Amino acid sequence: MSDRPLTWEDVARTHGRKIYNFAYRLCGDPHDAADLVQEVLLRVQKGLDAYQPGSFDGWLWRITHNAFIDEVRRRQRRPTSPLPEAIDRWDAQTAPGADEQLAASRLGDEIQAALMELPYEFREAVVMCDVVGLSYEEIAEAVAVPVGTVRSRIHRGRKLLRGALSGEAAV
Amino acid sequence: MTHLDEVLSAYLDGEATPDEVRRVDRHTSECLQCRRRLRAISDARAAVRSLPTLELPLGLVPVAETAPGKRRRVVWMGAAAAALAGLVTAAAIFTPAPEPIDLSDLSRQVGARAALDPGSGPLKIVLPGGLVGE
Repeated sequence: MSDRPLTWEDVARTHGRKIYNFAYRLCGDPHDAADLVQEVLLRVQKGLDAYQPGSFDGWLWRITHNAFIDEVRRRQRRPTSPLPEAIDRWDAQTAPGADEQLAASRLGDEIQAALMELPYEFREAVVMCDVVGLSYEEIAEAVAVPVGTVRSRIHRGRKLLRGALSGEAAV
Repeated sequence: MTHLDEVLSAYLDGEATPDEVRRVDRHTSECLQCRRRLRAISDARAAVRSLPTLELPLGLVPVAETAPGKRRRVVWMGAAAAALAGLVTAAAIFTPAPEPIDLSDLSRQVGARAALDPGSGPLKIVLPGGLVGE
C-alpha cells in the first residue's frame, strides 16, 4: 500500500459514486445530487489537511451529511422546483427488453417516491443503511446521534415506507 | 406478551445483540402478528436495496494524470470528452453525405449549354478536393 497521502481526487474516484447514489436517493434529482457531490468533494479538499487517520467513512459521511443539511436549510429559504422525471426512464423506453426495464423503472420510481415521503431524518438513516451500506455505528458517527436513535430512525422509516408502498397503514 | 418493534430492523441488519436475536427467534416462532411485522419490514428493506446503483454523470469526478517526475495534474476530462463526442456526433448527423457525381449527366449538361449558348466559355466544374475540370 502506498504511503502517499490521501488526496481529494482519490476520494472522488473511490467514493464519488456512493456519494452520488446517496444524494440522488435523498433528493430524487440528478442535478441536485451532482451539485451535492461537488460540494462534498470541495469540503473534502478543504478538510483533508485536518483529517486525522481514523474512521474515514465516519469522517466522509459526516461531511456529506453536513453538506446535505446545509443544502436543505438553503432550500427552505427559497422555493423549490418540482422533481423532474427519472433520468433512466427514457432509456428504459427505447432499449431492448423495454417492457421489463420499464416495469423495473416504474417500481424504482415508486420506491423513490415513497422514500421522498419519509421525514428527512428517517430517509437519511434508511438510505445510509440500505443504499450506502453503512453500519449503525457508522451512521451514528456521521449524523452525530446515538446508535439507539439510528436504530429507531431506520425502523420507523421502514415502517412508513412499507405503508407507502403497500397502501396500508404502517405495521 | 410484549410484541417486538425496533429490534426487528436491527435483527434483519445483523445489528441486534445475541440476546435480542434469541428473543426475536423465540417470539416470532410463537407470534403470528410479529412474524407479519418482520416480513413487512423485510419487504421495505428489500425494496430500497433493490434500487439500481446509478453511475456518476460524466465530468463529475476528475481524472488524474500522473507521470513520473511530473507534477500531478487533474483534468476534468469527462465533461470535455462528452462535449467533443457530442459535437462529432452532431456533425455526423447533420452534415449531408456528398451525392455521387454522375459524369455522364454532367457531360450532357455541358453539351446542352454549349448548344444553346455557343458563346459561353468552358464550364468549370469544381470537384471535392479543389480539383477543377472542364
